[in-house]
Amino acid sequence: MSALLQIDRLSVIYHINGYALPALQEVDLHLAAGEKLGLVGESGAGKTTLAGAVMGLLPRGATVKGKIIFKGKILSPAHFARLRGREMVLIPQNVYNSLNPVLSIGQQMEDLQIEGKIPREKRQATMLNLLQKVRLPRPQAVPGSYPHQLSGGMKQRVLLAMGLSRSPSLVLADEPTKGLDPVRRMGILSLVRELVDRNGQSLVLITHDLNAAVYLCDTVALMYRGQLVEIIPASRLLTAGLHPYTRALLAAAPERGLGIPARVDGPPSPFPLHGCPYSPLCELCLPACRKEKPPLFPVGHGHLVRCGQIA
Amino acid sequence: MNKLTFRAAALLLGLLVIIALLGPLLTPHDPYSQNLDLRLAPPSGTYWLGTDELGRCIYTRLLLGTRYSLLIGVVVVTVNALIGTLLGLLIGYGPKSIDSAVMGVIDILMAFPGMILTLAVAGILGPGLLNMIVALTLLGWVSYARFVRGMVLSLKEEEYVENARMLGLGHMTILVKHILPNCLGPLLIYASMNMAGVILMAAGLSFLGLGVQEPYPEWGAMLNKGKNFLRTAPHPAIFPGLAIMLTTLAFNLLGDGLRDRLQGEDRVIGGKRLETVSKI
Amino acid sequence: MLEFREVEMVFRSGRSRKRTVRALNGVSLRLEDGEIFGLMGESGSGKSTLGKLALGLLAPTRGEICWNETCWRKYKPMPKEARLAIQGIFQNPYGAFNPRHKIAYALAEPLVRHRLVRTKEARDAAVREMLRRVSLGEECLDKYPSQLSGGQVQRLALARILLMQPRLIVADEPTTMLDLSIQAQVIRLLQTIHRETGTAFLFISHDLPVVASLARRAGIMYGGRLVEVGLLDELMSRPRHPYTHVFFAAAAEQAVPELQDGGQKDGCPYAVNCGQAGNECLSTAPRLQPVAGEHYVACHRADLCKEAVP
Repeated sequence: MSALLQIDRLSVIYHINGYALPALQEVDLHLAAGEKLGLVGESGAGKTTLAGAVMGLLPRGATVKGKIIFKGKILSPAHFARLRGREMVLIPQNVYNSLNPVLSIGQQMEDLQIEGKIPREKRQATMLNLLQKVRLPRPQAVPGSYPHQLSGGMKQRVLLAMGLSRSPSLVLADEPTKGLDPVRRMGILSLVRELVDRNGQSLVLITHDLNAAVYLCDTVALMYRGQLVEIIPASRLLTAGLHPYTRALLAAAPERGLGIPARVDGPPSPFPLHGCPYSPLCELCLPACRKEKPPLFPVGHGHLVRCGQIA
Repeated sequence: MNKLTFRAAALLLGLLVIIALLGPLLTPHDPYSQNLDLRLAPPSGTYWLGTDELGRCIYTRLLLGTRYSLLIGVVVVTVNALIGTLLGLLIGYGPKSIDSAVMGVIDILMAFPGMILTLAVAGILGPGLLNMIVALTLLGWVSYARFVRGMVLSLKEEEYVENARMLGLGHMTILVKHILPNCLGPLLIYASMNMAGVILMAAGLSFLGLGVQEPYPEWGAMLNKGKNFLRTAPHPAIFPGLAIMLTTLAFNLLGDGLRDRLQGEDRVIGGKRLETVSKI
Repeated sequence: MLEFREVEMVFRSGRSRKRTVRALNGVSLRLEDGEIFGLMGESGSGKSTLGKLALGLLAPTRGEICWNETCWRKYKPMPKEARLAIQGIFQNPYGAFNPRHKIAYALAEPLVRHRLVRTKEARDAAVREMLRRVSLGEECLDKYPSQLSGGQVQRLALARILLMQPRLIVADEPTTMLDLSIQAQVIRLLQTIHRETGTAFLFISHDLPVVASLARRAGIMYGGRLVEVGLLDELMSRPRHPYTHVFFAAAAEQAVPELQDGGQKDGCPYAVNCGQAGNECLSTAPRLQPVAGEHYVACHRADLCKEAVP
């Protein structure tokens, strides 16, 4: 599999009220064509920032360092506008604010088609086809309705249909299952899997739902405080996760014993710019961990861990 | 809206308050003493802003006029805000039947052309400071009541208000401790903008001869007298006009600045967004 | 303890209040003293509405709710005794606190209003003791909610209602917005409180593992109706309602059919999605019937489902 997306030492720093807040620190990531990657971490881990950086959708005032290589080209701000929506899409997390409330679904979808130079007579059919693909009930009724007439789940599917309308090769989905009941969650997970697999698209699934990542993805990358701490084949995550943070996350799930790490939310530690980001909370922390960031160390089977105990 | 404009507006208003308080101490002249030899004199070393058609010092009269404008503004806005807030809290929080009834009346009142009604009332009551204040408060509270009611309706749905109900807190406690404090910020912004409108309206009424009367130096009344000599000597009209403009502008800018500050503060206090960012 | 009797809740909206949504339809449920009851089901199935009714935040359109045989209904408000005895925590921890009040004030307010303490010293002691129980430091007292993390604020919300010494806590998705490690902490805390105080819980969530870590008995809701009630183990091993089958299968990450929105007025809310639905399912809604012991199911075709355990 050739690399569709390659991220090299990507760092993002936000500037807020005169403070510099590093959101991502030297992230290296590799995504093959057709690969499904789960980006897992708790709030504040930098998952959404990473997606924003890839899409060129970071807020003004964010400093970006490092390289993002997409299909062999280094992305620059000029590229993003051309690639967004065509080559890569982001399915947003907030389904409620992501559709324009004063335009009907049909109007919003048609705008995409006009830009995609789909001839007028074909638009209706392709629109219906898309809505059918995302398994919306009564798809023919959807283009005429307005966002407020649809349920949250239906809006999410409309956004998915809009995202996929130009067959992008990279799909980023931001927390698509957040707050859904089990039946709807499975509905979305299986739908995304089916759509992406059918078209051979690459997927980046941003989630804090470990089980969803295992179900949907080939590889899972765990993030903690802006750094990648572990990259592991999804099938091995639940049994062979190595990083202390990964293990703490796994242990904390109710179905795996509600383990509480030794320290969870102590006083917010100053951002450790040097050393391992997890060292303030880590039970296995070595003196060296506080001084120098351990490298992402390969342990075989495409499994990499950034931990001073292992490297 | 940058910090500099907000500060400039606040400084100007502070200056106006000082002028209103110290007025006569800042000038050697008497605002009422006429000097018919020096009618409509242009600005000079003795009379900094010149004299009016009766030879009175315009500078001195403007200083004194500050009292009228600020007094009217503060009294009218305070009375309106008090009545409106009380009523707004009541109808926003109370049973729906009261809300519908009072809102019906308010809608009718809002449909009246306010300016004309105020003019009519001022006309019926006759000129004078007190009558003008009555005319301006007669309908002025309506917009406050509607504004506060709207806020209460949305605050009532806030989860912490629901929590207060769950905890069994009384209606008075919920209104005073949980709803009112969250109304005050927007109310302050609204009041400072409204202050500009009231001052302008009062000057207008005086200009039409329905407000403060000669010989008292109200800015609107001064403007009215001055307009007769606009061709030959424009300064008796220009300076009161400038004073009115600057004062209303300052209140408007203050309102804008307050909005930026208070709503910025809200974002920090209420929202989780900034908190998440700082946790990254 | 708490009992819902044939509760119906209709929300009206729109200009002339003509659009109606039937959020609850004939729900009857009895919670036992000191038990943790898990309430699961679809989003929009009426779980949260039931919780709000128990807290007296909504008045039922029809039916009544009783606390130790004292009942309230549409034009008869919740008695004060029940209001104090039943408290709740919700999904958004920050929502529980007025952003303009410091934690110290927020925690002490109900104590003072209800004269649960006589002196300032007693109040401060009670607050301090409660902070210790939810393992938070006293430095929280001088802060605003926005200065604390979600997990801390949720524990403070719990501390505030515990100060009222409730007999029943309605917990509506209290861990959904929290990160996994924080969620574990809050669930552990709830377990401890239940063990130490014997407070009953109505635990509303669609997260099966979370419910399973707390509740002994559970109910499944669909389309405004309670479709199945029983011991959680029994429900998981021998589900009788077709929706319960699908719910547990989906929770175990098995492929499940897509469900259509019902819109059934009289009949079974699940009829449009049910492979077994017959005429009676479309015309009359099934009532909860006992199947075995504490296990109840509302399905005309429950007999057919008996064998189809996945």
